[in-house]
Amino acid sequence: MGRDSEAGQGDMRRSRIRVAACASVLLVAGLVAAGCGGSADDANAGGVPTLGFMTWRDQTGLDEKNFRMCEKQGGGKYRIASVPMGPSVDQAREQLTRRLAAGDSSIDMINLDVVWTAEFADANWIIDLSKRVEPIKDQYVGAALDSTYYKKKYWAIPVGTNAALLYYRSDLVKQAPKTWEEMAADIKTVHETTPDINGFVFQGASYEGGSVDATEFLLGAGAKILDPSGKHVQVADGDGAEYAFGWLHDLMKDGGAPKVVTTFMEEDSRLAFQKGDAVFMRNWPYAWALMNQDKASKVKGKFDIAPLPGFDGRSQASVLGGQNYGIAATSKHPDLAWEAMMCLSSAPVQRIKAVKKGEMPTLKALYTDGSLDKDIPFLDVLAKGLETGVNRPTTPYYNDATIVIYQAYNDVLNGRLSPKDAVKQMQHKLQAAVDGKAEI
Amino acid sequence: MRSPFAVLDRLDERRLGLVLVIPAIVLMLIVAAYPVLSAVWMSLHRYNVKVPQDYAFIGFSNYARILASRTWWTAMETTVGFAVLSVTCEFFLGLVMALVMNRALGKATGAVRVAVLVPWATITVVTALAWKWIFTPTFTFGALNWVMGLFAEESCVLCGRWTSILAMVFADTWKTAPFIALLLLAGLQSIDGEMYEAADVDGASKWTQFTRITVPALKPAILVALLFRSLDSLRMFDLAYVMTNGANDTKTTSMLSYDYLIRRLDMGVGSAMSVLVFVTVLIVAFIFVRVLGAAPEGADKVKKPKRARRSAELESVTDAMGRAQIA
Repeated sequence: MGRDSEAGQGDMRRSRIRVAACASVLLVAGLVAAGCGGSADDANAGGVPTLGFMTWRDQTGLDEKNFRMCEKQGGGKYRIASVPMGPSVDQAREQLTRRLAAGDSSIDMINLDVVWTAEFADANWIIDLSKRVEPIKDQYVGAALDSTYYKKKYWAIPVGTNAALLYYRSDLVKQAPKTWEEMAADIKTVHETTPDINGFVFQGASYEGGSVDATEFLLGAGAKILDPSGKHVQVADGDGAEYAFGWLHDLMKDGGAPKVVTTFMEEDSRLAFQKGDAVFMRNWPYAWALMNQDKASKVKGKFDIAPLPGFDGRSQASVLGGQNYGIAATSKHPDLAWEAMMCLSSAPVQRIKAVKKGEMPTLKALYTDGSLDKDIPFLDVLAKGLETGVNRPTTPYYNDATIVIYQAYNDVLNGRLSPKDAVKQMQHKLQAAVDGKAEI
Repeated sequence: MRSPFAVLDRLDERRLGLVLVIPAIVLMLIVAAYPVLSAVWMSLHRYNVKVPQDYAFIGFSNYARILASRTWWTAMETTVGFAVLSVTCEFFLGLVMALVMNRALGKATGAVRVAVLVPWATITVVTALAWKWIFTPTFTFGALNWVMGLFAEESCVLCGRWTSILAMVFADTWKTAPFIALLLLAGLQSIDGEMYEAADVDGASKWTQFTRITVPALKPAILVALLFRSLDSLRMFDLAYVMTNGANDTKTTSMLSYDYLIRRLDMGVGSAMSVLVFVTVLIVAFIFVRVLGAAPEGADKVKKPKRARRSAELESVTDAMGRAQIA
């Protein structure tokens, strides 16, 4: 082999090496850049501050309309960009806490579920709004306002509230039951003539909604969950909790509710009820419009609503759902955020959201000024529910506590735990949870 | 001007090769080793992101807490139960499918291969949701009504612990049996047909041919299929998360670590759980390669040194993996 060709091969080898070396270095650099890219701060494009609003994904487009309306009202001082979260409460909380824990400064306003106040305030994720809320607090429904209150401070403003209702088949039951015991008796009566229909559907699954139902049953039987300090669990005090769980146990055993209710969330109950498969349903107001409008609904005009029953001679409780707006601790524009929040929770916005999305207003005036009577015929029933409305336990460890509550409740419904054992277990595990020592 | 790469020209082939893989190794360390090591490190601390100031080294306390808890062992039972049942079902179903495809389809295999992969290519969360609806007859979603007829209106599959686990096994088998079938089919097609002809001449029965020729020749593919599926199912999260959300003690170990890492932001306990899942998977992988991955028949007679035998095993495994990819 001649020298020339060897030299030629050497050249080729060299250039191949260079290409390979360049390529591998570029590849790594490219991957690293891709991983870190996209963090450029585009929040200040055009000089107008953009307020990041972490809120529920909205398919109706109504939220976007309100954002634009408020931007105009603010005279172009700010823009609102929503960062959607959801779809379930549990998932929304995960998405939110991940950002807040990482100190994401692109979030200014947060749509808070009513049960998050204590946890978020304790973690210093939202700022104290007492000075701003104090002067206007009398405008709000008391129980809704309470959900923003923690450690003697207001951490948010209430923008939407909700109390559950009892839906019943007015073609099968003449009069709405006043107590849960009456309802169970009504189911037995209906079963005598119509044995195929399910009795009562509600939220029995092992998730946050289960805790809401469970809390209603427990408080309705006169039980207490936490003392006012939020430090001592009182579930096992008195016989309330055992009575409520005992009633649920019997309801399931006697066929008053289908076994599958232990997997039900809100929509599952609604679908069963609107299919004509159940006599009673516990659900939020949103179901009313859907079951009257949905083409597939078989119960149009055949159902009515009533305030949630209580237990005979004991008590009655509607656990409030709803939303509050708070300001993120990392926000660079708290004043603008407040201004935007006030606009987004003003009477006209609350009114249209009540009609279009079933989010009930928090402004007292809207319940009495008659402007909603035509669109929401059950407004008086709802107002009654709000009067007796209670909030879920207030503790920064709510997330640990709720798991204990919905698991015990689900286990009772499934027959895996006797009512007595469930109460004992709840007392013990809840205390550990609010002590910040939740068991694994 | 001297090129910055000129130094490479002076290296011999072997060193040059090493230099050239350095970027890839660095990348591997960044994306694979760093997260694992940092999880191990975090698992030795008390660290909740909600209270970052309360950060302390606590040794193995997190592990002690986890291993002493009933919840963890219940989750372990669920996970292992699911893994054993699903891998068994998938394997036998997949094997039958592969044998049928190998024999019966001839030229149509290409199209069938693609068709068979559809369940496997569907996102698990989507299939999990579909199965959840199918197993819960009370849901009414038009198109699925006819499927729901399969299950009695009164039955509640997702209401009990083991019925829920069986429902997940069912959903998982539906999804991954075709994947195993394809892995095994690739193995089957590489078997030399002359071996069967020779066996026919010798008067061996079909069953003998299957146990003496097919199974030994298929061993590397079987090993890879079982290994992949076992490791996957021991890390199972999505099916349980969607179908039961952990109700009735159906939380898997991965779900439990998710609970701590993502929902409670407890990096200490969560990381310790992840490390335990990792170790479980590692042990299973080790058992597979070590115990089941014995060299092909006949090879033991020629007493190869241990190292050579191990590399032969590895070779057959990587070989099968390569073939699976081609398939």
